[in-house]
Amino acid sequence: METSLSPLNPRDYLILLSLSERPRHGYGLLKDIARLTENDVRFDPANLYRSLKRMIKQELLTDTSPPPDAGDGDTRRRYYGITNSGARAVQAEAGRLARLTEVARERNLVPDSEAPA
Amino acid sequence: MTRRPFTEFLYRALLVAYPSDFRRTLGEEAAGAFGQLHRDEWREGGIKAVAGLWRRSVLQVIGYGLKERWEMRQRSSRTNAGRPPTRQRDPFIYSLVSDIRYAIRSLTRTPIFSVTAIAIVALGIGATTTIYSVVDNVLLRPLPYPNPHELVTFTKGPASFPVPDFVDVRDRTSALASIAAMTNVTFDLTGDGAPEQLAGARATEEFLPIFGATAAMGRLLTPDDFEPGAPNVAVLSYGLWQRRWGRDPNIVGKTVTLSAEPFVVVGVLGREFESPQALQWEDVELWVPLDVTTPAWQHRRNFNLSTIGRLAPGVTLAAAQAEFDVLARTLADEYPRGNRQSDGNPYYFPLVPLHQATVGAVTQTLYVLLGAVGLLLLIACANVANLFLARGTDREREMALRAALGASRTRVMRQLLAESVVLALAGGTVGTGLSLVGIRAFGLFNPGGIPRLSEVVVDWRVLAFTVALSTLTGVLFGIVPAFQSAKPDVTNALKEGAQGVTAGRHRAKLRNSLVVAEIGLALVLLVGAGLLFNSFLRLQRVDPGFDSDNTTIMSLRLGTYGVSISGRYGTPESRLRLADDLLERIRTMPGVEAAGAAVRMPFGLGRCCWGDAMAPDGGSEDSVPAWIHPVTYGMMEALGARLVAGRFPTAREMSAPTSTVSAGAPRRVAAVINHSLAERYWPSSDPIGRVLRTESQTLSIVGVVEDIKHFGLDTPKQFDAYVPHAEGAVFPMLDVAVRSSNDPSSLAAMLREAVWSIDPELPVNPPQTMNDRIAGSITAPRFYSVLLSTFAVVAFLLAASGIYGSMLYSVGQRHRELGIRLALGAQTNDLVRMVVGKGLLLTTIGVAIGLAGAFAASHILESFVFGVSTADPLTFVVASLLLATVALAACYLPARKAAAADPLEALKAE
Repeated sequence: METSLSPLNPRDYLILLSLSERPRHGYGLLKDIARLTENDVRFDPANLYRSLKRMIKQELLTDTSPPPDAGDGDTRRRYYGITNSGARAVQAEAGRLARLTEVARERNLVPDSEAPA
Repeated sequence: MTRRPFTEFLYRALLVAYPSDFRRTLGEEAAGAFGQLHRDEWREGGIKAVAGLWRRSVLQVIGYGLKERWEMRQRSSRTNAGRPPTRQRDPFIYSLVSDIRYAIRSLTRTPIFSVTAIAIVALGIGATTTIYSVVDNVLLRPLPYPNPHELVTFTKGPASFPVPDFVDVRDRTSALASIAAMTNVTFDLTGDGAPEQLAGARATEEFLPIFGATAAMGRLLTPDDFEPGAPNVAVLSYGLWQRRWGRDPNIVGKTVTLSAEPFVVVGVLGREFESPQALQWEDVELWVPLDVTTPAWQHRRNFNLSTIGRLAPGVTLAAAQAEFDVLARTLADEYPRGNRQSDGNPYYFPLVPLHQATVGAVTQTLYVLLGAVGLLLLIACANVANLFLARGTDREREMALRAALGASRTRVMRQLLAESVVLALAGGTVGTGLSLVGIRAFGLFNPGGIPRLSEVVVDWRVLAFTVALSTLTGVLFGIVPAFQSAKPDVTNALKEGAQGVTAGRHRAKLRNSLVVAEIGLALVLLVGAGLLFNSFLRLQRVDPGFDSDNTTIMSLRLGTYGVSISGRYGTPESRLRLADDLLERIRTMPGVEAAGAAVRMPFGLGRCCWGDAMAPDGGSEDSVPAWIHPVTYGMMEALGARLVAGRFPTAREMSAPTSTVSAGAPRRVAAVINHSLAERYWPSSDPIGRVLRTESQTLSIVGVVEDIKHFGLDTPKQFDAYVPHAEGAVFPMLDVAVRSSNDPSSLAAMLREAVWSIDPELPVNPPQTMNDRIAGSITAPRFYSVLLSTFAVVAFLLAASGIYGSMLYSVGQRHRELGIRLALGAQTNDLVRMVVGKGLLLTTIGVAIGLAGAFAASHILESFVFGVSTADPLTFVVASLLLATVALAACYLPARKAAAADPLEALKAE
């Protein structure tokens, strides 16, 4: 199963990446992904839930209880957390991407991120 | 339970694209998240961000929703594997198709209703699509250049950019990856057919490449072309090549004569290249190299370059501006004379995105128009909703029958919604046709300089907008009636002759609210149009400050105003001689009372004069900025200027030779000043004989004239001084004013003859009467007030027909009750009063709401009105009274019908 997940769909990768930090609800995920990608990727809510539903089925994610620091009023919402196989999938993907980035860097394709803006 | 916000409701409705299963389990959560996103976007980015969110969401929901459906089907057919394949029908799609089919059948059964409703929708959508396509093309669409968001233009203070500053900025900036400049030039093209004037530009080497221009033939300008001593070369626009040389394939290498100098054509620009509208005066057809080392341009107060730059990768506008601010301060330290303003502050170099520089001035205008058509569309929706409500009453029995036979409420609602959406789409189709005409008309009238208007086309973006808008419109006007009709009182409705009293009353309430809404919205539009119209009337009545009747103006362009003035009239002396010869001839023409010339007459385009600080003798700290107008003898008389004191200068005073006296000793010249300037310094004494000084001139005042509105009727008061023409001979333009009682068209012919008798090759623009020029200066306000008035009148008629239809219908519904009242002894007058009274009540509520709305909204027009407050009580009162009167008149006919009810007939129907 895990081999068939690699390479991960980029959007799934983003979801797993965001949830690997801590469980979030749908809206929180939307905001976090927008932040991670500097507004490049902006899920439509329905599409996000569509992915979440599928990823739960694939056992990459699970419904979870809100984290203790979830603030007031958020307990009504459904929270999503990452499963063990989800964690493995995101690790595998991150490793794969890192290796590819390394190759790109050797070929001088990566803009120097240390340069001052 | 808190009420669900409307946005979430709409989004939830959009989710029909997804399978019902998905909607049930996750729809609420998705809608909730969308609602929050919506609030975030609104808070952070306003209407633009929200529009972006909706656009993304609509596309994604439809795309992924259908994908999800597809995948679900695939899954279910996989689980069914092994069984014989059955024909799979998505129940949703299937019932949708049958709904649409039924809707079309049902609408064709009531043709009058359908045609009326379609016409109303078409009107609303046609108007909205017209304005939207202008907004989309002009404001929303990126400029046709690569990475257009990186393009910025900059100025020195509010003015164009001087060459030495440009060179410094170019050498020192790191925020801009590339930087270029151009200056507008007019060339006289001679040889090869009729002479003509061409809009050209001198541009630096990087200019065309910054815009991604490519050559269709030959090459663009290269570094060699900019070397000193390089031969003159020119690049043609595709349009010019086509128009003038019929796409001659051998054009490259040909020599053409531009303003008496030979230029070699080295290339033709690609067809798709559009010269940047924000930087040019008119569409540039010819590009030649700009030499930044030209000695005549090495002055930091010589404002003549339009600039363009491309932000370096990763550099924001704010960061670039910060760098430019530092640069401006550095240059002000290095060149205090040229780069420090009189108050000691440096001249800053504000950066403006090219898009904003191109369309910034019309953004507000177009959004106001869009808002106005939006209101119109809402009124149309309310109107059609009302029609549907009335129709719903007639179809009560049909709906009850369906319900009795087991149709669910959502099913009935969906079917009714399908009807309204189908109708709206039909209206949208007709409306799109109307908008094609509308856009053409809008382009024809081009109301005072909307940039990019020629680019406006109806394409898939606009069509997508229209389809979305029509669907939304259909849902909007269909939802309430559908909701109403879908809960029929089955038992009552099926009883023969019974009228669902309770449901009917509820429906009447709805209809009344719609009528109130229509009146309110129409009043908002009416007040807006009234304000613009009122302000236009005031503008038209403004006294220009001179007697414009019988004055005709002829404009001459005497040469190229590029690096230096070239051509036959290259020297000030030659220009002065031409003016003298010409005026002498004109003065001898029959019927001419006076003739004179100036650089530019009032209400003309281009520069008329220059600004300078002046003060009376001995009081330089008390100086004011004033405009100095160089004029010839006779100009004030020919223009019709009105003397307040003193006299007009004599011919001898005005023809004082250009003094070639050494700089330092100010020239002493006779001058006429305007009333405001006289009042500023000599409010209680006689200004005649007094003296005003500028840095280089001493003006001895011989006369005072009323203030002349040089720059347009809506300009505030300013200080003007009129000096001998020789003082302004640096400008290569000449406007001749002639006062004559002759017929303007024969005068025009005579004037052109007079020019050609002196110089047969001098191009002459068609002479114009001063009154035409003044009228031309207010084309834009006239256009907008007429356009908004048209919208308002349509809105007004829709609202009136809405109230008429509604009252007529309610009278029809109540004819039995009215008959009984008559039978029981009511007078016909009572019935009329009853119906009109009800109309009055609705109108009053509508007007009250509309007044509040208009009051809240009218401040948007602040920058569009002249001489009238946006809260002008008279406009508000007149608009309200007008609307109320027409609304009451619309009630009168139904009231007559009520009074004519026949008690016998009414009761017999039982």
